[in-house]
Amino acid sequence: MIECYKYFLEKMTDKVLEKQVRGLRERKDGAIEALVEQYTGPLMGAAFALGFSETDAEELVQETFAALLTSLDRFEMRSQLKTYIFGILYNKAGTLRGKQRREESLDPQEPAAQNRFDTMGMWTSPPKGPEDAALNDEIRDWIRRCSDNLSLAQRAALCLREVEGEETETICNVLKLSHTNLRVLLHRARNKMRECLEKNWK
Amino acid sequence: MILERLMPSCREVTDRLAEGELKNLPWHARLLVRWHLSMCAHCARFARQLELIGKALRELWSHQPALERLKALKGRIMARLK
Repeated sequence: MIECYKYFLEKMTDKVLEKQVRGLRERKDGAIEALVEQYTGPLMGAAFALGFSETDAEELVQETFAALLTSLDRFEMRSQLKTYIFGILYNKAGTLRGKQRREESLDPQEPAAQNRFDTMGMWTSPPKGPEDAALNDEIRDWIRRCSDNLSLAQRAALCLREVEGEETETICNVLKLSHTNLRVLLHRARNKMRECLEKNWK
Repeated sequence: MILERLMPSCREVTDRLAEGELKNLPWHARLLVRWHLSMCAHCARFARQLELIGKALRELWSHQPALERLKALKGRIMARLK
């Protein structure tokens, strides 16, 4: 029964996507306006996540929309439009950033920066840093600065997961990663962020 | 006791939290993680800190475009397409 429902939902989503893409291919004014209105916010957010200033982010987002519209013939609708458009943004950002010098090591055996656990898996050096989940300006500032230590892929993954709330499959499609790679990536990114915050917070 | 042997270690719990895929775990594993968190102050703190980071990133990395900027952006894109 649930399968039946899911099937219809998928078919409807496909139809909606088809209609949207057709409107864009035909350069319908309303279609382009809707596209810009729908995705500018999330794309700007993603550009900020990737470390761009407001001005540069606007430029990047503009480029992304233009690239989307000119490459629509190549879009096969096997993924959602959002996945496709975020993929374009991420690739352009990578080109602009000269593909972060820090090589993204996806080797799962690579040890964490600090080993804080004993052989039984208990804390040898328990977590310091903020006690609770209350935000203030000091913490916001440190988190912004700490995010500069992350690679482009780590920033993109965190943005797609934490801010956009995207599914694993979508993120893997945008970043061209396997599920395992993504898991390792997010594990490292979150630990790096937390350790950086811990180190700097008073 | 059997329960002590089933209990995940702090390292395992923090690994699961940092991976962020608790909902993909089988229900019994998820239960054990939550149980550990209810009893271990260190790991509970770790969990709250990750929550804090998520909250902050959602604020830092969201953007509400102003109406005029959207119009201007659309204009520039249309011009580029000609």
